[in-house]
Amino acid sequence: MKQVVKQLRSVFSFLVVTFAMVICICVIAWFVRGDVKNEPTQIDPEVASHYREQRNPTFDPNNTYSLHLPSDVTPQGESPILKELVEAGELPPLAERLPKKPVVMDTVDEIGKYGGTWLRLAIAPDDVGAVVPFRMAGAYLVRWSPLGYPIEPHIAQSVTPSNGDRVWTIKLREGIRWSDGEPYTADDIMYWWDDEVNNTFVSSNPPSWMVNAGKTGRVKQLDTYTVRVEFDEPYPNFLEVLAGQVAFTDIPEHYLRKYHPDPDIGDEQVIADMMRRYKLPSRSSVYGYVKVWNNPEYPRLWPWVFRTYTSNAPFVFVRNAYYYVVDKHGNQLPYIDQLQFDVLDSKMLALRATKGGVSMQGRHIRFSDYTELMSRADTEGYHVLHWYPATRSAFVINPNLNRRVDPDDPSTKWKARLLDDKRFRQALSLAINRKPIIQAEQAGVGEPSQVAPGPQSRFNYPALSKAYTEYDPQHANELLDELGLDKRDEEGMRTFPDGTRMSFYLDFTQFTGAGPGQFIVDDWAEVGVRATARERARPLFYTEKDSSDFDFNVWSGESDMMPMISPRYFIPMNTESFYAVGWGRWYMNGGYYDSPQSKTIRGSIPVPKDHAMYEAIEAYERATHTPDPAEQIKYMDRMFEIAAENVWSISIATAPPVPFIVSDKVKNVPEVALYGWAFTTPSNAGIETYYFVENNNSPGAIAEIKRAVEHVTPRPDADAGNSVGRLVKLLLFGIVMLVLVMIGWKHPFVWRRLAIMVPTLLVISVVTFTIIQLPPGDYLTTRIMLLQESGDEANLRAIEDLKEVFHYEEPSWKLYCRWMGFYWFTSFEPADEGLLQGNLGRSMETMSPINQVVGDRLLLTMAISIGTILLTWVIALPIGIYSAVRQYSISDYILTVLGFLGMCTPAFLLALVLMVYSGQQGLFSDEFYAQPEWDWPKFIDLLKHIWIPIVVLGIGGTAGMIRIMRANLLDELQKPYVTTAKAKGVRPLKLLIKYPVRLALNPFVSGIGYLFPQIVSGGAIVAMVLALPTVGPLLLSALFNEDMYLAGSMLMVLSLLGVFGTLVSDLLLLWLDPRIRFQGGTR
Amino acid sequence: MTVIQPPPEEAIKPDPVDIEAELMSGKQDASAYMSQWQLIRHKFSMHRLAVWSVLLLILMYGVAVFAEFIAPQTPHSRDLDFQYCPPQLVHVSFEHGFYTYAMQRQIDPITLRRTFIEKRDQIVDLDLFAKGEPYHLWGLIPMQRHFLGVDHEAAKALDSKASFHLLGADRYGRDLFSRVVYGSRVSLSVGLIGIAITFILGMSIGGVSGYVGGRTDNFIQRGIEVIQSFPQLPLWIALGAVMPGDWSPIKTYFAITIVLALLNWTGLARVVRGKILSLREEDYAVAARLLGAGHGRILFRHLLPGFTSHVIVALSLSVPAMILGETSLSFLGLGLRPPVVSWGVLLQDCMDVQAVRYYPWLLTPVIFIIVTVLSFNFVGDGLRDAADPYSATS
Repeated sequence: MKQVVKQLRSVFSFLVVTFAMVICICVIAWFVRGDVKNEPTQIDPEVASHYREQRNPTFDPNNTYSLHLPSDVTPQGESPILKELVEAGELPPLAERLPKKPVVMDTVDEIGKYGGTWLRLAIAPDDVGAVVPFRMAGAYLVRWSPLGYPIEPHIAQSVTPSNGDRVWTIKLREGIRWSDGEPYTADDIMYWWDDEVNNTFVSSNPPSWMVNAGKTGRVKQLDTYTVRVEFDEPYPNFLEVLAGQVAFTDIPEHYLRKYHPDPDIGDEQVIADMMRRYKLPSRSSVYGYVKVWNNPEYPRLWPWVFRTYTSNAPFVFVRNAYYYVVDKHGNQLPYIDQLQFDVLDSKMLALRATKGGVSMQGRHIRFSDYTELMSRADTEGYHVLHWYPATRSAFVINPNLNRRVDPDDPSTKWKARLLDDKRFRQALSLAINRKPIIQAEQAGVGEPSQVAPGPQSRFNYPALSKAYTEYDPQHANELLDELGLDKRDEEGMRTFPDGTRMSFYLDFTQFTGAGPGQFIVDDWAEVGVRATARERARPLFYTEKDSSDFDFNVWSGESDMMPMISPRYFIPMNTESFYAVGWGRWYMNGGYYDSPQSKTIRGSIPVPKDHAMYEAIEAYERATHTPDPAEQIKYMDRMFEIAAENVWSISIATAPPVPFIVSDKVKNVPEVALYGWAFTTPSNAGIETYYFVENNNSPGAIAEIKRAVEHVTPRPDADAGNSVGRLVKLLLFGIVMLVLVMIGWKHPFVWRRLAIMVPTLLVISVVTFTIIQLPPGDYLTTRIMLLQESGDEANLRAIEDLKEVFHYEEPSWKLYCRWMGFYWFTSFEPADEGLLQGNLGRSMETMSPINQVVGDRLLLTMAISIGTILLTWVIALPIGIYSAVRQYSISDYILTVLGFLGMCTPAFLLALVLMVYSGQQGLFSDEFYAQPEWDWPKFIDLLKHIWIPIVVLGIGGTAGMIRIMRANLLDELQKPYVTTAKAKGVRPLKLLIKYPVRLALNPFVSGIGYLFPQIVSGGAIVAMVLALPTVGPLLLSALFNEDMYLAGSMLMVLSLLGVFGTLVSDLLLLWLDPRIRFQGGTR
Repeated sequence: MTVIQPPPEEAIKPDPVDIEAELMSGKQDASAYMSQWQLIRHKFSMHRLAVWSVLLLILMYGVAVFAEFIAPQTPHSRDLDFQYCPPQLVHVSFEHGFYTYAMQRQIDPITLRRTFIEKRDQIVDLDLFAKGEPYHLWGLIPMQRHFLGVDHEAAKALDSKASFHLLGADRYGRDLFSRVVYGSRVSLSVGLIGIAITFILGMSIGGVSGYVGGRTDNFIQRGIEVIQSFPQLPLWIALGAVMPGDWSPIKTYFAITIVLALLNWTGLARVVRGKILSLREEDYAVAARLLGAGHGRILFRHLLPGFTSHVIVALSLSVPAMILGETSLSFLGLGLRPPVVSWGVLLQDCMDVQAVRYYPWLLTPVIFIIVTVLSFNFVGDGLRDAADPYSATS
């Protein structure tokens, strides 16, 4: 009977728990649903239609405007910073710095004021390098206007075609100077042509845009300021090409000549010196090393130039004192003093951007964040512009027309046949129901469409955009049956004609995201085509793309509005035409003109002459060699017609507008402009004329700009500024010293610890090295593959260099020995230094020494970690003691639950929520970020930010500490000596602190060793979310990019710190706990 | 392995319930008659939080087992009319039984934010065991009834589309509660499978280390120290990155549990080794040895019962780490990926400012993670207190 009652009680308890859980879920649901209204909100139809129009930006392509003014203006105004420098005699006066006839640019709103820092965000250091030299410089011979045409002379005074667009005469402006004050002349262009393009030490093939109709053009110098480019056939697009090529304007002869790898041109002494200073393997690698975007010594023609080297964000570009553009009153541009990039994870970019992190930016601002962008605009002091997307589709499915046939996999044969059949592609396009996808993915903005130039393009072809975009599963089924896919398997899916299982993969990367993938897979399943959407890591995606070993992959459109320049979705222009990479390789190597190269290059597949694609290429070739615009359109239309019929790619919808965040303090930004890579946006929209209504620079920041304008801070030598190297050496030295001290002590406990220290470190290093070597392929392999693809001899040399720097072909054990620096003990050569000598190696991605990359990040990481540990102790100790003394009291329970809650909450989520609601990200507000001097407000600002990481990181550890402290103290409190002491009348507090607590501290101290690396690594995701410049995010990105030395070395440093921590904690224990001191301990 | 296990000595002892009753009534010496397991059970039952936690875990695992039945919808069925639909509250009245109100979407013309209005005049009846989307329970039994769902017959009379999203819907209008329920299968079983591996590795390696002793012991202990001095998360990431991207979701899933378990067994091994070291010198173990018992008999018959409870404690405390590990890995995109549904995958969706600010119900999977992890911690805590039944009771 009692048994039954007991059972019933359990069942009852279970029901109570279930009921409690249900109630709990309901309460949570009620809590998170917020305030749900019962009545529809009244919407002013006028407001609604205004915003609807704004989201559908449009312009009249026949009525565009230009920011360039033809008038002659004498330069007369300059930034106060430069004026001071001129007065101090550090700079020549304005008239001597600028050309007599500078470029004159109009402003959209009004004449601006000098000053301010343009804040921007990037997702990686390389991202800065990918945007500044092109889109944030706009230093081209000719430049696009905000709405595309007209293309205006910029650095060139004029570019005139003659002889039926075969000969292009480029007249440069006299008196333009590089950012170091040297004149820019035709000699610079000729150096590029004679000594770079036509010098086998630098390159073996001319750039593809200098090849017209299969023949390379010629560049001739007429006088100091005039150059003529000649082609055999008409090249009507040459002006558009010039508007996007930096080759003419980014090769300063006076600077580069001495580094030239050709022994007849370069300066032996200088090159040898460079090789030694930066530990470079070869002459050509020196040239490559000089030409990177972040070489502060490299003279530029950009409005803002990189003058102060830093290996970590923020990357600061200051105004170019010699910039050759003025406004219509003769004030030298740009108005804005400096351009500053911070780097953070792409997921976190939108939040930062809406919190004043960007002054003006469209790159990486995604339409999917639209709600957030628009909702915060009023309160955060910015507005959102809707720029016209030249890229006409956000999501394009590429059927692989060149599907590689794997002899071991018979299904690939069928796949290759189907994918190359237009009926199959038509059917799949018809099977997609596009409306719901637009609703779900683009918030209803956009129309069903294939990739097409769009109505604002000169080459608009409406039939292409609508081709096979209607939802017609019945027609799709008919087409598929017609193809012989009429058999079905037991799951109701179509099989290959031979009855075998048919299944395709739809591969995407994080670039586009899964997006409509699942919709498409479901829609295809409706017509009996089985497909699986799967995400691919970027390197793997590229590898498969380059070997044509995929079924379907997904990418976005790219400047399709300019099909003459960017026809990648209409003909296989190069390997970026994902639907036909083999053909693309053939075409870009001159296959259409029968070049020998196109036949020898690996993976090049000729387009069959009877294939529709051949005709499309023919049409494109004709269009690009016809000076007559009407005839161009005729040929292009033919190309589109073929594309419409053949469905080379399957797109979902027209792209939504590009949201541009513009701070309310920034003026002169046009309301609508064209956004696209081909138009080098935003430089086409007049970046140098933007200005700040209020100067946001502190006096310290202004002094810093002045210093940077005056002096270049070059890259440090590979050995210099090596605080990390010193730290590693110090740690190793410290361990050795401790070992010596302990040997002197001759203590059994210590002996045992020491005996395992060295082998432990060795094993850790071996394991670390093995793990980082495990993933198939690495950054280097991918890079080498990409270089090989071009087939260029210079690239082959670069491959050799890479292989030499990273000892690519050596067996793993040798690489390990090198990484550890074992070879140094035999040679004592600085080149053989490794981890043991404090040299962490070189990053594969950036080629810079890891010691410099890690640099100050390590210090900051240690500061945050130590802060966290201290906070944890300060909180955990008293609570732990209290919990133990009042065991099983209500407060003990509450504290326990709270502690566990902290332990169970995923830290990254807590970080996200705290960040969103406090609005604090990073370590400083943006106004203090740019400020170099430390003052009270900046310190307060730091405190305002730093509490989040410390609290988030600390909370997890605190709970554990409380538990440990409580348990230990409970054990101690039960011991007889406590009873004795109590009986003798020792005051409780004194008793508690003096004996039990001291003993209970023991495991606390011994935990220090493990705590530190765990906090650093556990904090990695948190730091990523919070955009903290610590080691964690760097380690994460290194692991993701498979930048193995960077990842491995950082893991080693962390482990080293851990081991060192253990040693220190052992010493502390010896001092703290007499039992260990006297007995040798039993840990 | 369960805590409730009939003690072999039961036959010669009085009724256990009586003993407990006696204990309760303050006759302390009754504990002298109780077996070790009875003592543990008794002491465990004193830890209220732990007992409730066990019941809660039973509930969670029960839900995971009957996921198809409990979930009102399948995890992938979407309805774009309910994109970002907020949670719909369940109301009860005598007239309608369970019901909720119909929701209607409206889109803000400026920000394009989806908001919903609750139409008080449109009552959506909810039925227990309602007919809904057809499914196969455990992939075998075809069924159509769901535990609680919209009464579709009655809903036909409504002007608005009927829906029931207990925890709201995500950006594709998929029911979040259903996804949480289905996700619990993966996330909760990661812990169990991980435990199995941890158990095997920890027991065997720790056992060998403790029983054989000497050099072997030294060697294994140093190995464990090496593993423990690694920063865990980077190691996970590195191992996660090793997994080929073209593995099927199931394969990735197992690989992840193995990765998590491979770093997790050291704690257990230490416990086992420590216990064996001390127990094998106990008089009864020495006696068994002198009587000529074989290694197997000594180990399993005499030593193992002495530390089973400690093993359970160590295991129950290692589950939370696994569950959180899965979440972190999936969150980083290295673990499971859609279309697999796990709590970690659901968290990927809230890694978005908009989710936190405008659609906070997308964060609710965290609550389930917290509750589960918390429960495991409490259970482990209770077991730890109970594990050594002879320690003084306060």
